[in-house]
Amino acid sequence: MRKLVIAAGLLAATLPAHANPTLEGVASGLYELEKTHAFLTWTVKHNGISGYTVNFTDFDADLVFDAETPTNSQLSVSINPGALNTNYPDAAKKVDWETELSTDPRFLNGTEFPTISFNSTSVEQTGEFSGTVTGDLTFLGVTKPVTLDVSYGGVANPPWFGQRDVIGFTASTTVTRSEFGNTSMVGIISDEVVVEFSGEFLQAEE
Amino acid sequence: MKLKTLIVSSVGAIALAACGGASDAPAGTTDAETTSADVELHPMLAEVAAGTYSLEKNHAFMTVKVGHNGGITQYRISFTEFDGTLDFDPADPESSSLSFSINPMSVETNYPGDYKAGHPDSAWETWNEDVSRDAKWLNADEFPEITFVTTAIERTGDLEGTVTGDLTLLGVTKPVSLDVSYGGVANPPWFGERDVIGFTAGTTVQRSEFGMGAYIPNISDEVIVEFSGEFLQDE
Repeated sequence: MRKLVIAAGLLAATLPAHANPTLEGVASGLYELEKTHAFLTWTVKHNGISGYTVNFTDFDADLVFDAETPTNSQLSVSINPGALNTNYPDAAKKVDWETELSTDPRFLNGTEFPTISFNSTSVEQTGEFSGTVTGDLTFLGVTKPVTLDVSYGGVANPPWFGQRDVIGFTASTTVTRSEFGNTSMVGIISDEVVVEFSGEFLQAEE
Repeated sequence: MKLKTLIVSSVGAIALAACGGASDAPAGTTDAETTSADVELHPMLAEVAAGTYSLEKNHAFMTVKVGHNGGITQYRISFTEFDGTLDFDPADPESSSLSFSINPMSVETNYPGDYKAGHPDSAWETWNEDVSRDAKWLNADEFPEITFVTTAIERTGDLEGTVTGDLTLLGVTKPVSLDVSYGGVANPPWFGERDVIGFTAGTTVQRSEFGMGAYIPNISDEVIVEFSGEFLQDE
């Protein structure tokens, strides 16, 4: 698995320098995903030699954030498996390939299982601005616990959002797809799937 | 490569190449250019042909990441049209050379929803187009190509190294070093005797050095560039 580790390490390259993340003054309460600044990708090893990365392009998340006691926070995520971007280079075949990945029973089987969901069950703080979020992942109709490694990136207050806080996170985990019943092309496509999120949450309006 | 063909062929390939790139699985190619047995090579390089490889575009990804809102998160952009040529020598990787060309018009931001509706004053129809063509971003009408050409390769481990070269972006050429990892070789049967080799690479570029200073530091000066992909031995 050394090669996978190297790939994952590269993919998890550190954030561009940030002045100083802070939780001071950050509002607690409900935050919603700021979808124009949110990215969710999955990466599998292909041929055993390189990473194949696909973007989910339709997903949503609600975060009940407790800035004083982050371990009391709760996260729920919903992903539409029918909305993928593979960046496949041939435009005509791209649509077919994404449809196949989305709907084929060997892959995301989105016709039968139209939602992938994650609901947190516990949060543990591991550093000043990092922690693990454990929750139930439901994929292909199978629900299993998964733990995300999460980093808090800080707060911003762009003027167009008035008094509402915007908070940023990165998160990643590795899912073993066979545990959810997906075993197609093991050997060509890795059983391990690296899932990565980077994005912002906007404080919900009162 | 047609992906349905790939999948069908894979059924047969699983038994043959259960783990492409596995160190002790004969890769199936030995031609005159394959490295001689008296040179002790890492097993993942021992069966690899020397010569010219071209990017296998169906399995190649190029992304850039910048910090957004002062760095609270990463904003991720993919390039969807790029090409590369690699002259690879497994016996002496430091003598290899790499050239890359990226079309800055091929930006994919995965922007959700209707950009124009939310940005009626924008000169551009889509956010992808804005990033590609606006003079404060990639200015692709004036600079239609981003290129990288190696000048030096240094091996830092059995399967890792740094590839230094000249990056030309926005008409400015500066040296940049990539951290590169070699991922191994595969021999899917639909490519016959031709080797497929995989790499990941990453670097951080200061965009201000190339004259792109817009919105620093709200959008970070540092741009993380990441590549993962495969190269196919030329016929």
